[in-house]
Amino acid sequence: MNHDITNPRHPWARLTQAARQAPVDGDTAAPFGFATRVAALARDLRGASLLDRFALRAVGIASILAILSVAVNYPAVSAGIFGISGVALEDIDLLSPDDAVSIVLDLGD
Amino acid sequence: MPDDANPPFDLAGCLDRVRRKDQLAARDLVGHLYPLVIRIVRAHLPRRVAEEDLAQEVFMKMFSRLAQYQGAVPFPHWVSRIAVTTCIDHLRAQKRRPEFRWADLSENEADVLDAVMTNENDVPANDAMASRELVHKLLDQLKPDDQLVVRLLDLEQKTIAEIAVLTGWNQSLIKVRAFRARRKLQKLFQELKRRERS
Repeated sequence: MNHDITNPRHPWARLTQAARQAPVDGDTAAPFGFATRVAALARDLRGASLLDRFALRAVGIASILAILSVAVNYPAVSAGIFGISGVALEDIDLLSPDDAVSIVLDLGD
Repeated sequence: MPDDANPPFDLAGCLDRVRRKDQLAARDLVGHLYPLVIRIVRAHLPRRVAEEDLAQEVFMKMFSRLAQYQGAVPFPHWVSRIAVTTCIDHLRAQKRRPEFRWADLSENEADVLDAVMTNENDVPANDAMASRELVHKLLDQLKPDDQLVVRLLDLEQKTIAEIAVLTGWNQSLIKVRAFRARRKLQKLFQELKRRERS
């Protein structure tokens, strides 16, 4: 066997030469409806990309507004958070005296 | 002499109308470019991918990137490059390459391979289809980029410069890939020769 693959007598060269003689298969005309479908998909794609662009901008603006609103209302928000966390949980009367569970617990005592 | 019944396609005018979102022009453009795209797709079709799906993907990329087309190269060349890169992306996505074994070849393919390895005669014309199948199976053993280079060089007989235009790779890289691919093919032939047909 010839060991230089670029040599025209090498098996690879003879195989590719024969392969080039094989008839080109199939029709090269677009199948019925293909062009219409692709054109319609492309139109939808253009519409979607425009929507995507606006949606991304909307997300950006919404994020900025959210950060701004937290910054502006920070004192009120922090007071609210620390107001609750400053109270011990045991001190909060979670069960009112009229509650059925508290009545049963009282009976147990 | 131009044929009056079939006037030449006005590509520039059609592109203008497509940019103005003319649906009919978009359809005409797809119809006009389909033969070019389908030839490329068929030549580089990865296993288990339908040619029509791949052609559709090429056209979708063409439409989505149309604003980037500046006219530096003829439009069909630009579309050819999209088609080639789409095919190579699909080839790269196929991580596993089937092993090349004598047992997996059809009777005719095995006969052709046996003949080219044991004698120096040309392959008979009636074995062209089997030869093409064999070439594709052998190319499947290479890395996708190497596969593409060898296919373009040895099957489509393109020059290095043409491949560079088509793929966007520089000429040195193409030569390196061709060298690497041919070395791998040579090893494969030696291996096949060693194992022989059982």
